[in-house]
Amino acid sequence: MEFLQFWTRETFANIRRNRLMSLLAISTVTVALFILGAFYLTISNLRAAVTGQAQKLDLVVILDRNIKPARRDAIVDGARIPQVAKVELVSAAQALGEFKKSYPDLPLEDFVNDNPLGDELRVRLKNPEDFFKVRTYLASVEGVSAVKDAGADIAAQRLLDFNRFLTTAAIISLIVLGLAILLIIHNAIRLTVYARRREIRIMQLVGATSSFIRVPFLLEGLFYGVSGALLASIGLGVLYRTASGNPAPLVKSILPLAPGEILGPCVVLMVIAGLVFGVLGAYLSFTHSQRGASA
Amino acid sequence: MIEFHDVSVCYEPNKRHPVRSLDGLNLRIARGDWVFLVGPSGAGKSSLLKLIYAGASVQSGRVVVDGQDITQIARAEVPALRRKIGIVFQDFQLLNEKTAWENVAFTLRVIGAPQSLIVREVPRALETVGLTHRAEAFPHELSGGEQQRIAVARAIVNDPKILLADEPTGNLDPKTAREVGELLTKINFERGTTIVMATHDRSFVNDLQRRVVRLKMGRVVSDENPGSYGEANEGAQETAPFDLPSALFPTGARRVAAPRNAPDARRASRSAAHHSSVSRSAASC
Repeated sequence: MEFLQFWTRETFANIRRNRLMSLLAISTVTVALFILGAFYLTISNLRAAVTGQAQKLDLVVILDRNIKPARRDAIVDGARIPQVAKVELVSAAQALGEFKKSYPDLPLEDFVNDNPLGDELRVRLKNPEDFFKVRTYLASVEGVSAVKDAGADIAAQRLLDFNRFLTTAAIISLIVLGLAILLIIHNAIRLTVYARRREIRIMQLVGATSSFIRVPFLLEGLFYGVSGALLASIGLGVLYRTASGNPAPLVKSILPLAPGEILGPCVVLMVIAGLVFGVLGAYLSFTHSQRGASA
Repeated sequence: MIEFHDVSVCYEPNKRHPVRSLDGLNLRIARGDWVFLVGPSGAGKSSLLKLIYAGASVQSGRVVVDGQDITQIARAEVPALRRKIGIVFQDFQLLNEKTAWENVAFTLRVIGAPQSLIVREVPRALETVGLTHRAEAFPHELSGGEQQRIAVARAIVNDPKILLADEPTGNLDPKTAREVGELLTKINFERGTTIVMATHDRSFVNDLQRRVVRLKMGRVVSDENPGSYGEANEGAQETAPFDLPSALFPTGARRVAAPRNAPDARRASRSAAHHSSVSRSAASC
């Protein structure tokens, strides 16, 4: 407990002593984490939009024309696999009606008594990544005449590729921004270590252990990281709420995720990033400085 | 208490111009002893002090401190060794943003001493150096002598077995230096702390009349003990312990009584324990 008091007092005394440098470190970390958070929000919204679009790609399962009702019901039940969100049965008569509505100028009266269309199932998937797997499965079911996707397979493939690209971009940006934060905190702590070199030397000479000496610097890095994360979170939260509160349809399609849905994970991500990179940056900086000092 | 066995130290041995600091040095310092290390700059005084607190490593030989061979010491064991040692520097090395009290308490805080011990020991250390009334003063509010006394208080607050002092009077006027000398004498006598002090201050050495080890080019060239000159000088070159005029300090003839208050036991152990010699000639690193 006395250790903790000492470390906390030393950490805050040091931050107070080096006010300007601390302010600079926190501001830079705030900006870096703000960019990281903004990137996360952008990627998440894009992914949500892409997933939303991909989910609208229904598979149309055409059943045999003279299929018995019992078999038809069995196929409907069989289509309700875990990957499927919704199965809608459209009878041949309904399908013809819709066709007539779509093409009112065509002379379709002759088909009223002899409907060339069969019953069909419209299948909506939970995850568009299962598109091809589910299509293959449904095509193999007995009583299914054909599975149509009306060009949806190409669209699905493109959306899936885009989604993968976004994921990769998110990971790379996380790494790059993380390294930037690491560098910022590394330099800030390095300056602190330099400013406190006499104190460190005295601690070493009177028999303080390396881990004891290191702790205030780790706490300082943690403070910079978490403070930056919290400030960035506040800024980003206010900005996102304002933007997503706009009723314009375009905004809704660009930002499909509600603030309550996405800001929580975003803040957690930023705080964890600030904490990890803050402590890691401080650790590396201190170790590096001590190696230089003892060389 | 402290033993050097054929110790050589070489700085930057892999560089083009390595520097040999100690060269086959042998020296023994008994518990409770007070030894002055004298000699020209570059003679190896500071290196010798650094070896005692594991601040430098040997090229060859062995250094034993309080029964522990510190040439074999693991990195993790260094803090424990240093808790037995207090160090005083020429430039005081006080923390400017802390008061005298906090500077002294700092030693105990960073080794995890409980608050109860800090509250008990810091006033005791300040009292020993006679600066209880200046406890709340910051270093810039203290005179040079007071700052050095605070540095001494910081060095002795955890009751170390050994006190190392590297030119502690270098920045002080003669009168203040004498006061610091009296303070160290008191610590040596009352606490039985072994004191090893590197100094260039002739009058300080002459006034205090303690054992004097003279170093030159990393070797002990003389080892004079005011209380037992004959034994102390065994194996050493016949050279004045300090470059003093012969009239003041005749070679091979210095014999001064030990301090009046020094306990007999300590005097006896001092004369029996130390031994030094020039063991080999200088060699390249």
